[in-house]
Amino acid sequence: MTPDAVLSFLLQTLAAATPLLLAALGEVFAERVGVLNIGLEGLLLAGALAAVLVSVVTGSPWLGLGAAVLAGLAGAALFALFGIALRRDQVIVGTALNFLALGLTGTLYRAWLLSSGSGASAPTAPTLPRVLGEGGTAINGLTLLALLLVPAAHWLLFRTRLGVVLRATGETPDAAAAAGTAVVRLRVLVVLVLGVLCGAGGAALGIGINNAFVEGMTGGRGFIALAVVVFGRWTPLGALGASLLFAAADVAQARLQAAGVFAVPYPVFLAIPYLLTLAALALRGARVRPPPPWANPTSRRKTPPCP
Amino acid sequence: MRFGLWRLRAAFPCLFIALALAGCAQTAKEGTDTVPPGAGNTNTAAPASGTLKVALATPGPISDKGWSASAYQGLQRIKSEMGAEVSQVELEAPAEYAGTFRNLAEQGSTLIFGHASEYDSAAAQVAKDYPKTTFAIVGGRSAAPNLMPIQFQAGQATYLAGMVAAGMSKTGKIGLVGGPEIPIIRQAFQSFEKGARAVKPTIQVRTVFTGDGEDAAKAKQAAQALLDGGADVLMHNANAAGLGVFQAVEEREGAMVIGANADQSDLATPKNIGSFVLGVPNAMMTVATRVKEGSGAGQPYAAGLKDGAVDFIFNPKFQGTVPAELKTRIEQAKADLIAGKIDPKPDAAGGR
Repeated sequence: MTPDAVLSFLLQTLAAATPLLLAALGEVFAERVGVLNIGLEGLLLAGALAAVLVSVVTGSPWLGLGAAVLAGLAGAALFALFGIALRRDQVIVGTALNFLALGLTGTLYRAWLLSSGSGASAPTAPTLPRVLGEGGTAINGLTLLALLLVPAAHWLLFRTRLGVVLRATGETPDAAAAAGTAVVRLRVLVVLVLGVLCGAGGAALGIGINNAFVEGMTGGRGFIALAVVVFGRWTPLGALGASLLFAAADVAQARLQAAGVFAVPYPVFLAIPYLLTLAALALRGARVRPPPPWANPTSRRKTPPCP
Repeated sequence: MRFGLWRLRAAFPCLFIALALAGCAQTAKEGTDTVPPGAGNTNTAAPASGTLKVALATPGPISDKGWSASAYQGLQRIKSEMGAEVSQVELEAPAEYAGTFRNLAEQGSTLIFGHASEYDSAAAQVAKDYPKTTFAIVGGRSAAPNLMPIQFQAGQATYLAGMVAAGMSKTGKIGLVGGPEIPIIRQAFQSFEKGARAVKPTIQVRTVFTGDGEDAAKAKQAAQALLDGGADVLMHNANAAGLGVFQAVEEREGAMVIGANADQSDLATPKNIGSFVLGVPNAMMTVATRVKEGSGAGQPYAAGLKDGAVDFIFNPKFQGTVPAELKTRIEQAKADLIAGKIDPKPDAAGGR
């Protein structure tokens, strides 16, 4: 590979990793405080639609990003209402969120296309400004922001008092509550932050990598982000490594197909990222342990246990 | 308040899911399909007594400016040019397929267009009971004396697209981005490759499938991989995800693109050489004419270049120049394809 091709590969990998990384970062925190939100896919999709619509209408990608964050926030608030406040099963709520977002974004987008008279050809949205690289192999400010967030998040989670409180809320909610932490409130707050990050992740797709909305354009990235969290062992740095690995595998498989030198059916290439995860989980699986008590919305006892 | 919310909480998830389901109503949009030619004889079709009564069932709203709108255009043309009496229904729920077709037939329709391959089995079932009505199903599989599958010969158009791509390429490498590797897309790509080789036997054709017709980011990645590998003319057939291909071309100096299925000249306009298109109204006109004349019943209708049902059109706003010699060759190839002198289907040994 020429230096140009290497650079192009690296920048494309960074761009492709951004939505995964943003969603996974939020999920790391959520799972650390004892919330399992599998509605990442839906939140990403909502963010992507909001980003595209608002940046097309206003002409400003930054307003689009703002709208994406708000859309993610709204979706996360819905999750918090059912999954935390009303203590419904979080897996069910997350699943419902995914379906709701898939249907709602499609319906809204079609309605908007019809009302705006744009018809079959989708309008093009202005994209977030490029900060590094040029043309097709450029990354935008959002990618940079996501990368900068990683060390900050890692530091917050493992080197600060707030980090201790967050982890304690997930690991021993009773003790955290006894120590004066408002467990429910903290969980809701973290889920809202997750919504913000996922909304931004959707914007990274809709007006970062692409410049238009396509129904279902997230293509399962929300679910891959869940695997990224596990593979990254519930740490922000791990999530960075895992999402880069995924993205690199994805970019690489397209290049392997394009090279056309291997007489291998294309689904084998498409499967590479997933096979990689399976292999990694199998090899490291024994040492991977989720933070307890996982996805339990109700781990607040009515009466404190007697000492 | 607290009590009210408490009582309502069971209802919320139901509402939530109902909303999701309501929004989910997706309509499949496969326009074409391959079908083994069905056997059948050419009598017992609707007698052309007086005016034609034509009904159209679309899988989505006719205001979609896409698939269903093109069929509605066809219906309007049949009305104005043939003086037919026309009606249209939107038919989305599979449970209503058979009943709706039955109703349309009961109303005395001479010809019923089903504009979705999903309608095939329902139409086949109903057609048995209404021998005087012809059912024409786009992408249908079954043929009967009064059941006419319409099969678009996209390969004829992609053969031309391949000729254009090879003729325009400066690097000698051209690329294809596909969504899921379904037969219709694979065949279109094989015809593209054959057309490209007809112009330049040494041309390298590279294909990347993304396995997904919606993931525009992945389609963009695929296009970038092809461009990084030295390809300079790309064609896609990845439904909506194809947008990512146009974007990659737009961002790359010297790259060119060919659109798919519809006139996509408004995407990456200056770098867009042209598109291969499906001419749904033309195909419908041909079918209506055949039914009126009482010919061609019981046979699948191969909608091709001859009737303008598929075509390759150049983008008038393309910034580069298409050599006159190439344009002449394309015209010649069109004539040869229509005359059957060129077979766009891949040679038995070729392709994977």
